[in-house]
Amino acid sequence: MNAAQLDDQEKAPAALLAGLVTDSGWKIAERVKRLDGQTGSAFSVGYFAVGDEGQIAFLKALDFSSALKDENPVAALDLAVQAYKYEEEMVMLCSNRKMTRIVRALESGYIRVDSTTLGRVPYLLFEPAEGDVRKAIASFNVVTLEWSLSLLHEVAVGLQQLHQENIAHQDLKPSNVLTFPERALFKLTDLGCSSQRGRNCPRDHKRVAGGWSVAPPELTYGEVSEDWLVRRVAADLYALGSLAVFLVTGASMNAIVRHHLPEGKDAISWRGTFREVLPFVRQAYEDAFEFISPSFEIGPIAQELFRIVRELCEPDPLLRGYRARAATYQQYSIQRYVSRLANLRAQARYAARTILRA
Amino acid sequence: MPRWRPSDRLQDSPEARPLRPRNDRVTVAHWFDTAYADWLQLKSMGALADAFSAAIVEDRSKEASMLAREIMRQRGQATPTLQKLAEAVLDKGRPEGGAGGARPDLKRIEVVRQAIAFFKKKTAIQPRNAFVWHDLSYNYLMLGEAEKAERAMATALAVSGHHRLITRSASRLYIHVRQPEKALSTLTLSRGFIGDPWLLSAHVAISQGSDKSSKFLKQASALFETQPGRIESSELGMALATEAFLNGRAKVAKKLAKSALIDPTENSLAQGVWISRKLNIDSMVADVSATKDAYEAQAFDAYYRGEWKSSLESALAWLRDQPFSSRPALLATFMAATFLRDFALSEEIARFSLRTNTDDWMLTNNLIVALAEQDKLQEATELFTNLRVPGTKNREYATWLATGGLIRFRSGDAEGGRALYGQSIEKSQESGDRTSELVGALYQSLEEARIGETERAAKLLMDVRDHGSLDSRRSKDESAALDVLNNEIHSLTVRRRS
Repeated sequence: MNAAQLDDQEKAPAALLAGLVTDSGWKIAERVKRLDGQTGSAFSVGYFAVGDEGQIAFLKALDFSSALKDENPVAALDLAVQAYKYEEEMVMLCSNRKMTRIVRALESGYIRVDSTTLGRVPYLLFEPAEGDVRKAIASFNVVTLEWSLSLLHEVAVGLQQLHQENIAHQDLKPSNVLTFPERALFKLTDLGCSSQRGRNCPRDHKRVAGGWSVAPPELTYGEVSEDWLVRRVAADLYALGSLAVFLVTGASMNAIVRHHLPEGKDAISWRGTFREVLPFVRQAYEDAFEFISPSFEIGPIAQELFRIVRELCEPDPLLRGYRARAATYQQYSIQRYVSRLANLRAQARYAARTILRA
Repeated sequence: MPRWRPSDRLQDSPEARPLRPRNDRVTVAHWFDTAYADWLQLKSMGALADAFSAAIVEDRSKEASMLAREIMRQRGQATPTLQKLAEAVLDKGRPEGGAGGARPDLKRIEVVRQAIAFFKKKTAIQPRNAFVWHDLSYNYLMLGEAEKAERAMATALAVSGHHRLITRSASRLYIHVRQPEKALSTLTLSRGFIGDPWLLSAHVAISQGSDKSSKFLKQASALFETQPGRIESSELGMALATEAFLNGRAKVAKKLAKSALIDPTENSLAQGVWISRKLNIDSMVADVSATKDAYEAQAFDAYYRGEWKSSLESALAWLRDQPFSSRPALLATFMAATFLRDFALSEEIARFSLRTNTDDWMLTNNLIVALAEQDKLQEATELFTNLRVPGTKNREYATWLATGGLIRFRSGDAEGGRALYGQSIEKSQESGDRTSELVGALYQSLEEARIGETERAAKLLMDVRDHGSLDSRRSKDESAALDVLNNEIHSLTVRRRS
C-alpha cells in the first residue's frame, strides 16, 4: 500500500467507525491498525468493539470506496462485494459448524456512517484474540519446542476442521494464527483467500490465492492441477510445513529456498513450466533443507519434526504428504499430521516437565 | 551429439531455458508492505522475521538488506539460521553452493576422486536431487567407472522424471558406453519428447551416429519449420542439415545449416564448421569466437586454417569441457604429436583420455606413437603387440602399418620400417585417404632424416606434394604441414652435422 492509498483509506467511511454502535449493541472502540488488511480490491479496517457486558471483540470493517478508484470500478466493486460475501459466508459456516480452531465470528452486518451509498459499512465481528504469532514471538529465545509443537498441533487441527468441510485455507502464515490468553490455544483466521471445493471462490483465479511467502512452488510457478486436492489441500500442507520452519528457524521456507535458487530460476523471473524448472527448484529445496537442518538437531523430537517438515514442504505436490498413500485421497490427509504432531507435543511436554523436575 | 557438462554449468545453458516462454507478467501479492508496517507497530522479532521473509520472496532486495541489518543488530533474539540467512543476504551470495562439478584436470585425477566422495555423501543427504546423481555419474565416468556412472545416471533419470537436461546427459553417457539404442529409448521416454527440439535433435544425431535415420525425422522437420532462427532449434536444424548432407542433398543441407546458424549453440556451431568443410563452401560460421564455450568449433576452424598451435589450444579447452569424450583427445594428441612435435604432451593427453576411453583404438595408437617418438620403446612395443590388428580394408589399417613402421625405425630396423611405411602410404592412396597418406609420409621422412637419409626424406616430401589433385583449401593445409616438416628435417640435419 502506498502513501496515497493509505491517505485515502484514512478518509474512507470504514475508517470513521470509532464511537459508533452496531444494531446489536456492540460499541466500536479504538482502531487496531495491525488488523487492517485487504479483501479483494477492498481494504479492511480493524477495531476493538465492546459488548453490553464489557466483553471485547474484534471488528473488521470493509472499505468498498477504494474499489471505486479502480480503472473498472463496477467490476472492482462487484469483486469486492463478492469477496466480502464469501468471507462472511465462510466465517459463519465455520462458527455454525463449531470449528473450535477457527476464529469464531460473532455476527456480521452493516453500520451506517452517513447517508451516502458507501456510508453503510459492512463488518464482521470476531471473538477477541491476544494477537498473532508474530506478536507472541518477541524474541526467538522464548520460542520453545513445546510451544511450537502446541501451536503446530492446534493449527493442524484447525486445518483438519476446514478440510472436513472441503475448505482449504490457502493463506496460512504467521499473521493468520492468533494467540489467546490461554497459553496453548491457537486459532486460524482470515478465510478471505480460502477455497471451497466445488464452487468458484473469489481468489481461485489467482495464481497464488494467499501470500507468496507461504505458497507452494507449484502455485508460484503457475502449475494448475485439475485435482482440487492437489491444487488446494496440498498447498495447505505446504504452508503448515513452512510455519514449522518459521517457528524453528525464524524464516519462511520460501525465503530460504529463494536464496538458494540459481539466477533466473525463481518464480517471478521464470517464464516456463513448473516441470521444466523442477530439478533446479528441487536442488534449491535440498540445499535449503541442509541449510536449516542444524536448527532441528536438538534431539529426537525436533528431528521427527524435521521429517514432517520434509514431507510437508516437498516441492513436487505429487510427492508431498503421506508418500506411502501417494495418488490416493489419503496422501493429503491432514489427520496423519494431527496425530504425529499431537504425539510430538505430548513428548515435548513430558520432556519439559522432566527438565523442570531435574 | 548432446553435450554433457556438470550441473552447475547446465544452469545457464540454453537448454535450461523455458521451451515456450510465456509473455505474461507475474503479479506478486504484496504482503511485504503490510508485514513491514506490522513490524513497525509490533516491534517484535517475529514480525521482523516475517517481514524479512516476505522481502526475500517478493524480490525486495533493498528492503531485505535493510531488515537483514536490523536482524544482525538484534542478533541475540534471532535464531542462528535467521542470522545466517541475514548474513547471506548482506553478502549478496547464496548461503551454500549447489551440486557443482569438479573441474577436470589433465594431471590431478585426485580432484575427481574427491568429487566422487563429495557427491556420494550428497546423495545420502539429498536423494531426490537429480543433479547430485548426475554429477556423481559424470565423475564416475571420468575415472572410467562406466557401470557406476550408469547406475547413478539411472537414479538421476528416475528422480528427475526424465527431465530434458538429465535425459540429454544420459543419452550422451549411453553413447559413450556404446549403447545407442538405450540412448534413443531414453530420449523418447522424456516428457514432451515429440515437441522438444533439444530431445529430437539428440535423437536425430544419435541415429546418424549409428548409421541410421531417426524414425522421428518427419516430426523433427515439422518442428524445425515452426521455429527457425531460434537457439532452441539450432541443434535440431544442424542435425537435419547433416541428415540431408548424408543423403546427398547438399542444397537442402546448406539451406538448413544457414537457418540453424542464425542463433547457434556452440554445439551447432561446431557442426557448422564441419558441414561447411564437407560441402566445400566457405565457412558459414562468421566468427567462432563469438559463442561461449565453442571450443570444438574453434579447434576445427583453426585446424582447417592450418593454425596448429591455436587448434591444439582449443582442442585442450574442448577436452576440459568434455573430458570423457575421445574426440577432443584424438585431435589434441594428433596435433601435439604430428605438427607441434610435443610428444610428452601427446602422451599425457592420451593417458588422460584412455581412463574413460579404455578400448579406443586410435587413442592407444596415438599413445604408442608418442611413446615411440620419445624412445620409450619397451612400453610402445608392448602396447603395439596388444593392439588389435584392423582388417586390411579398414581405414585404421594404414595407420597401424605406419605405427609399425615407426617402431621398426626406432628399433634400428630401417628397412623393415621403410617397407611398412611404404605399404601404409600405398593403402592410403588406394582408399583416397589423403590425410593418412600425408601423415604417413611426414612421419617416414622424419625417421629417414633422423638416421641421416636427408635426401630420401626430402624426396618423400616432394612425392607426397606432387601426388593427387587437391583443392585450394586442402593444399593450404597440407602446405602448412609440409612446412612444419621441412623445418623439422632442416633442424635435424643441422643437429646431425653439428
